[in-house]
Amino acid sequence: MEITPEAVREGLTRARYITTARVETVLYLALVLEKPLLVEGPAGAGKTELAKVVAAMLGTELIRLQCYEGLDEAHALYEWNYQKQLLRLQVDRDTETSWEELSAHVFSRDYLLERPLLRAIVAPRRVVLLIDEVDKADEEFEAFLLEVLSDYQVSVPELGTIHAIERPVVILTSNQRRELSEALKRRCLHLFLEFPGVEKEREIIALKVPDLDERLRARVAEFVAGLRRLGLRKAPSIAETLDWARALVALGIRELDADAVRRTLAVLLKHEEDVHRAEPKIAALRRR
Amino acid sequence: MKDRLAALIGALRARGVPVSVAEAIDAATAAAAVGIERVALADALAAALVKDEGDRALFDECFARVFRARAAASAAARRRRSRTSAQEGGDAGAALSHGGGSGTRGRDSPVSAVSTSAAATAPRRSPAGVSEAPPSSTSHAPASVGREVGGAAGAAKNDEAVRGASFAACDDAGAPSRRSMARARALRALPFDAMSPRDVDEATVLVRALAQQVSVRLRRRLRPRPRWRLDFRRTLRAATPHGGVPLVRYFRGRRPRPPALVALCDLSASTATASDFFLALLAPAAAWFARVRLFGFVDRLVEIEFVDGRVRPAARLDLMARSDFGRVLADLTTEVATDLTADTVLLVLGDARNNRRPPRADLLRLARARVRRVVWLNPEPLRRWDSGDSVIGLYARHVDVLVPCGSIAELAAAVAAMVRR
Repeated sequence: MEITPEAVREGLTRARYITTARVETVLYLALVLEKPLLVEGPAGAGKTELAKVVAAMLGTELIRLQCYEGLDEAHALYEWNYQKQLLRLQVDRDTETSWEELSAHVFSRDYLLERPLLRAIVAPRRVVLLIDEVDKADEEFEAFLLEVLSDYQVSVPELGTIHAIERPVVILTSNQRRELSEALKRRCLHLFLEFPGVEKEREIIALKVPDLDERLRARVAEFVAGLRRLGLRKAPSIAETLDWARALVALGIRELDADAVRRTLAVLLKHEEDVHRAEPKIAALRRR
Repeated sequence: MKDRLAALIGALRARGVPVSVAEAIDAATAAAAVGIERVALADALAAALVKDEGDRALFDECFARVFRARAAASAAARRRRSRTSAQEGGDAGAALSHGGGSGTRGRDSPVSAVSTSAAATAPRRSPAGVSEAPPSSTSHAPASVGREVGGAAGAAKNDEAVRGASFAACDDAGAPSRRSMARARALRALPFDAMSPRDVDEATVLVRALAQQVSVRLRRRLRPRPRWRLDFRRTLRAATPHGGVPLVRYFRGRRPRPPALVALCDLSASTATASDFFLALLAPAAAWFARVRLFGFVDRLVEIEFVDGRVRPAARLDLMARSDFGRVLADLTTEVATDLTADTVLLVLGDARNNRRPPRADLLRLARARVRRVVWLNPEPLRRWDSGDSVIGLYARHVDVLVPCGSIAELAAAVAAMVRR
């Protein structure tokens, strides 16, 4: 698709992602400027979903790299397929092959296990690369990522440098468990994804759980927004709101009274202390 | 446009937001890509220039000041208001009615919204780049807005300020998490000696979360590393079914031996906050050390316990006494000598203000010879080191690592560095 602000807006709508003008603008920029997009915000505000939607919108593949502490190049970039190399050597044992031929053979692309970063770079068409929860990876890995993200090239000592054929759309997400380095931030466009307001959340519920009647939908959105203001240990995510809406439909609840809320609160709140904190406020939240 | 952009970047830099040249170029490209529609332009420039959501309010303020074309602005404001009402309906509405009473979006409602947002806007950076806490008694009168923007009192300036801040009001109304994030960031950078009791309370919660991270990190470091050395025997045995071809390799890693910890904390009034937070950071990680002994000191060394966020000394400790590091070191090398072993990390938190008493740096050298590492954390700002009665320079020669720990951020970095080997 040709990238224009309107096309991005339409694409997001078609991919069933409801969002704000800000997100549309920044996403459009990331696509046009071909810069990585760093998405920060509270857990459950739809950061990962955004990447999936972008892939759907562009009609392309999503390559996901989930970060964790201890993630290294072998798992992020490439690894030699040791077993396959060994098999090759076994097969070649009786044939007369020179050392040069052999080494050129076992260190060729066929014997390379491509991990997400390399796969995104060598992909023949533009893909979406999601580097999820980059704040969980070590600082060393972040530094390594810089190199990949600034030039979109990877060097494999045995093969030489591999350049990206089509620059992937890179989306990084962070929950701010730690500060990311300034250098990484500098290279990215920045987007802060906040929980949606009541109106937006109502639209999302309408889209994803159409069975919930309209009045109840508004009450659900308001109640969840109220919960998020309580400063809980883990504020309910959008996915949890949708789960709750589905639960209400499944239980045939027509009225959001205190009892109904109490019975289903476990869908929204996953920590005992949060439940204790929210329970006395149920009446007040409902009235809002 | 170029001039405006330069002015905007200048304004941001003046307020302490770091903007690199590359980001400035990005901003220009971004502006060219989105055009001059005001809201989109603001979002685009913010995405390129502001990498810390805590600075967004500041950006909006600067943006409004630089791009002040009046007609366009009022038109955009009208559009923005209608957009915001559709978007963040409940939240924005709540904030507006909180200030304006009726909640109608009339001519004057943004002004009243501003007064609340000005009070609520998270701590901003001063030109020096140091975060400062919001004044606890920000008045809710619109007059405070003028002060927010830099002491402008004229009607025109005030109007402009209102516009700038109403931008922030629209965005911040529905963003409790963003505000708390900005607050957390400010707290992390706030020097201990500038903390009010309320700051300390809030920081305690923050430190608890950080302590959890330190603990997790330490546990990971102490996990056996499998990829170290080929486990020859196991690899060969696994190769037998494949005719001796080692298809699967097994590796053996030695479990890193956890260090023992001896920590000395200065409990005198000047460093008490730093000590408390330090102990709070260390407490959950204690399980991952082979042995932990915590000591507090002012003029002598006393073993302490850290329970439920409180320091509990084993013997009486005079907190009002004058610090005497020399005597503390003498206590250390005599009474605690058996605990200073080759796998011990000796941690000292103190400002090394010795009240002109003998510093006894030779004892520290002695202690260092017996332990694996000596790490000294100094809660004083760097520029005050070695001033007056501080003898940190004498001790610095006999420690492996000397780091400042004047704020939570520095403290966390110091503890993380200590955990890393």
